[in-house]
Amino acid sequence: MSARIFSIANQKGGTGKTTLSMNFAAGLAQRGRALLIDADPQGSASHWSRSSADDKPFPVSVISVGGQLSREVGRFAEDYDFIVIDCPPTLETGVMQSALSVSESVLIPVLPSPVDLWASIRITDAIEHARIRNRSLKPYIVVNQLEPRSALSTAMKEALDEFDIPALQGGVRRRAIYRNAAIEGLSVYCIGKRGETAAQEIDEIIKEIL
Amino acid sequence: MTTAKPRSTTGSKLANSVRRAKATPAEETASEVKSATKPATPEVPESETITAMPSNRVWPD
Ligand SMILES: Nc1ncnc2c1ncn2[C@@H]1O[C@H](COP(=O)(O)OP(=O)(O)O)[C@@H](O)[C@H]1O
Ligand SMILES: [Mg+2]
Repeated sequence: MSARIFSIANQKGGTGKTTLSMNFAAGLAQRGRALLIDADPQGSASHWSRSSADDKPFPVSVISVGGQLSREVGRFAEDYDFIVIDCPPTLETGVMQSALSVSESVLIPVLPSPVDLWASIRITDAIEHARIRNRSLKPYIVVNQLEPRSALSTAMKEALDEFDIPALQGGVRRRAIYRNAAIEGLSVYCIGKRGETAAQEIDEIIKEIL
Repeated sequence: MTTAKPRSTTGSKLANSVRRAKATPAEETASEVKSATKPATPEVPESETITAMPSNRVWPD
């Protein structure tokens, strides 16, 4: 069986790609063998996994890949059930396009703020382009850093229609635990009671995608 | 298609602004996507190879 491959992408920085990648991959690791490919030269996912204590490692192996992404994915596809690719925040190097060309789905974290939405809208072109070759690519928007009581978070529904990409029912709330998990080099799944609610919301996302 | 929906003011304002952003820099994006899909040039930078991070760790199965 070949791995199911998921990209986490948005050419806008700071929207939560790495945070979602790490926790999504950790959730997948409870369902099978998962590999996380850090395709961002900033190496945040790699830093994250290196921040863990020796006796409590991050539950997914993280490898860093620059170019030749599709070839490298092919090399690992038989050894894993799931591969998650944390994409770089740019369309210019071609890495994101490679990731999209080998993925069954792409999760696009967006923040509930106008400036972020404006900067994120161009992902639609990249997806349209990737679909020329990878026709079955399924894109999903994941609203990140949701604050349910804020007017902007509510207003997102209307604005997201403009992306012509379905938004997942489940979003990711703004929670300190996501940052704390990074400090400890862990996912919200293995950080005890503090991470339970966050792990549930990541699980909802996984259920929607799988 | 730029008429605001009367329902939620914030929502329709935001939607309109996204629609504008989508319509604006079309050429710029086209060139971005083009360069992004340019076939890989022969000289592959050194960083373009896979490096197993020293911290690679997997849970024991
Ligand atoms: N749901 C969340 N709640 C709180 N902080 C978050 C959340 N998602 C991301 N962050 C924080 O926002 C910042 C950007 O997230 P990151 O995952 O690094 O984005 P990207 O990889 O897209 O650049 C980081 O400081 C991260 O800890
Ligand atoms: Mg990142």
